[in-house]
Amino acid sequence: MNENWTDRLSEYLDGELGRGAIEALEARLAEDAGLRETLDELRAVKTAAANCADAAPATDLWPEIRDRIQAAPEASPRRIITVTIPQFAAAAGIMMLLGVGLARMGGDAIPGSIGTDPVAGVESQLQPGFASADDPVGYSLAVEDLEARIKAGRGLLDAETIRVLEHSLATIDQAINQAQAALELDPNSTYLNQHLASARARKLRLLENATALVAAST
Amino acid sequence: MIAHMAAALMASMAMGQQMDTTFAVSGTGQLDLQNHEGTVTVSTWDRDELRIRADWDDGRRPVSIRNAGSTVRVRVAGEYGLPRVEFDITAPRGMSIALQGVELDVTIDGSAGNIAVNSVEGVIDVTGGSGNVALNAVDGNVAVRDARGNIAVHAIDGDVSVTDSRGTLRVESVEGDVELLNIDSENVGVNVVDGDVTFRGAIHDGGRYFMSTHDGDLDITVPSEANARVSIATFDGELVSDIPIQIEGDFSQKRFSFTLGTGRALIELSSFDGVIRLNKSR
Repeated sequence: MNENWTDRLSEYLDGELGRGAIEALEARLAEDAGLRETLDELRAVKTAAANCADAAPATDLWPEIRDRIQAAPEASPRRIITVTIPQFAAAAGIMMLLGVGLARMGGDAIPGSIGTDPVAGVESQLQPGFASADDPVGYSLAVEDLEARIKAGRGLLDAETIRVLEHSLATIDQAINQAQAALELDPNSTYLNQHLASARARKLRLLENATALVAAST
Repeated sequence: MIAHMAAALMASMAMGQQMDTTFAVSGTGQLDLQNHEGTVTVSTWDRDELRIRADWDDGRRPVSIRNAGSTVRVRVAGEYGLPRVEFDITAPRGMSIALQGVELDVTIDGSAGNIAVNSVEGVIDVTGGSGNVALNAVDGNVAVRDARGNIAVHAIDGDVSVTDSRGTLRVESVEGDVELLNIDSENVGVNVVDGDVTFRGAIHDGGRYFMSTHDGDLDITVPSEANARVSIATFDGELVSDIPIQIEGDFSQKRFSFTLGTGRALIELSSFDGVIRLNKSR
């Protein structure tokens, strides 16, 4: 039975578990010191993988990620990615870089939608993965890339639109800062981790929306 | 059938700054209209015909209509920038409607088809819609009534209101209040950064209801007979409930849950620093 829980730890760290499974696992963790120890070891592996990811030429990945997002079929179901413990270390860095893109591919589109692109990214943000909150690397690169595109096309947007976008970005940044500050006080809070990931995902989508507006204006 | 705008259609247009044309379309086809600035008002009828009336200030007619297959594409163009055009359209009730614009106010009434609206600055007001109803606004309020199917509203700066609607519901807003009234759904997802969320609706066994705000209050009213596992999360907020509850989990950690009835549905409510009110419908 304990092996079953152990097998789910990597999914837990990747934020791939459903709410019920998270609660069940956390309850089990509270009781099982060995399981907690294994979880700590996996976290350490993940941290090491994240450090390795710093050396990757990640700035070149974003266009491809965007292409994959845009090419995703409309009715694609939420993708469940299960990574076994031995695979975890090798995959962790890549997973974190792709985390945002995969989350978006997992459940954005409304099936059978018509014409223009409907409401991208609503569902992915409702159940964000832990990895996004723990992963400043891919997130920061994506934000920088999108911000650069918007800056380059800023003159194409209406002044009122720019004002609204900048104000909304400031609002989201404030939420991110508050969530980060709260996490410093309570780093193990599942809610705060999810909340931070959600706010970051929201910022990414807003930047993507703004980028799309720039593109549409050219 | 691929047919460009016919000569007869040209003849039906009024001279000067107006046009008014009616032509046969598929009752389940699609209207795809882009209007940079102005308004689009769509009403419906039980005829397989599309009537397009348009008004603009001056100059040559800026509106083009292209009928390709089952899709009617309406575009606005101008020699010296894009003019403001006011559209008044009557469409078959089951026609899908896709509208897009920058400074665009949209009103749709009586549709029983898919609806997709993208407006950067402007108000979106929809009554009806079935199948997929997807409404995006950067700066402007969005209101939906009597919609059915997959309903998704994405607002950046503006209030969102969804009433008397049924189906999967997704609402996202950065700044603005979200009001969901008389909702009949098994799947609701709401995420707001800075705004209040109000929900009044059915809670179905097996349903999933996620509502979250960062800086705002949640005001949730559920039927007295609701069966749901309710999860509450907050950092610096509080729960106010007029429903007797027995808390499970660590209240001091601001993350706890409780069960209503048999707990067959899942309700997740979170507010970073606001008040979460849980009410029983009278």
